[in-house]
Amino acid sequence: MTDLREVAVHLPPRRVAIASLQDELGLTDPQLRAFERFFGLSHIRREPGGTGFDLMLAAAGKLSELRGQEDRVRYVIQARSIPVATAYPRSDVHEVRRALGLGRAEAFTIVHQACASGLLAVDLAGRLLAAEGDPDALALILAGEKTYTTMVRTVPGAAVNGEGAAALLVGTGGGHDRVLGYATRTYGRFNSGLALTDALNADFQQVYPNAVAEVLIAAVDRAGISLDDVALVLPHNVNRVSWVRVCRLIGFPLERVLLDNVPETGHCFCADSFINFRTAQELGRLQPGDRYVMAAVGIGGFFSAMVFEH
Amino acid sequence: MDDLRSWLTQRVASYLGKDPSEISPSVSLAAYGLDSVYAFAVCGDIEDHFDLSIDPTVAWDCETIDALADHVSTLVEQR
Repeated sequence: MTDLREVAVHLPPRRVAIASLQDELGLTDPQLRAFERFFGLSHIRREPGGTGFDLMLAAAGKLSELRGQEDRVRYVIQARSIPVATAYPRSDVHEVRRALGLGRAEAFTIVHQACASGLLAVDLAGRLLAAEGDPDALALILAGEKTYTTMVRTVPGAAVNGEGAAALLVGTGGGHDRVLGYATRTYGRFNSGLALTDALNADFQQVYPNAVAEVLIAAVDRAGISLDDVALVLPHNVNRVSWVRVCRLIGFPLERVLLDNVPETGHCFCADSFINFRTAQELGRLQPGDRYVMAAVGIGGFFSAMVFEH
Repeated sequence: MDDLRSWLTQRVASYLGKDPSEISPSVSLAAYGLDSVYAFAVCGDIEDHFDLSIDPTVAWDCETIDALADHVSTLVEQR
């Protein structure tokens, strides 16, 4: 059974108010006001001058359980939203693998489900490790990206994107957070992502809460539990109001969705749920035996949820 | 109610860059191209103008000016 051995997070220390980015992001006054007032957005983190390599290595470097276990790591998987971030032949994930001394690991990147690729990476890591048949084998998952270009600094009408990274050490036994269930659903008609027509965008807005609800319910069903058994949802940090809408639809208490990071980090691509996991640990929001759900939505119509037991 | 509807029409028209006479209160705001962020901006205007707190999901639940006017009218009466 797939489990998390450790999750580490790096958030750049520089806090940037989204109000100071109004011109850069092309936000009108009403848009900025709506973002701050209803979406719960306030600040993001940025690391000017830092690279994607720096971001991921800073997170992975905090994995205390990795030290001395480097030879057990078989896979280094980078979960990305933005397909291309470095010029060939450079590869951040291969450079991180080398820097960490993970000489026995195969390194690759997945982008197939945009910001939902982080949960896909956990599922994939578990499957690959299970196929190895070695209970001591580990996988390292890296998530979190630079916001190099203006285009990737917002999800229009939904979010402001920040920089932050997470590193996960995944195994198949002996970890403290076991995967109990995973559900993912792709709505192919939204595959044009940021280039949706007005009609498709309106369709997406209507489908969104139902699609999130569908994967939440499917994931807890596969875990053999119900939503009532879920102690905490670790969401993506796109905005607050979308979770208000989902919670109302499924009758789930909003206070059991950890939204603390929405005003602090904004949306950090594939890393949100993992960043929120660390925050939940730090705040004492997860007790032994708690069942919790990580949820993510990837641009292009990807909806995913994964249930864990702490 | 007519005053409320007229005020809402003016707010929506201002965000769309249209003349209020071009906006029908019974037509979906999305049909005019008012995206969800500007629907939230209208919610903010309502809160400021009427000094009340509005549930943000109204931006999705009330699809027309008529529906918004009914909702706001109820909130004002309940105050």
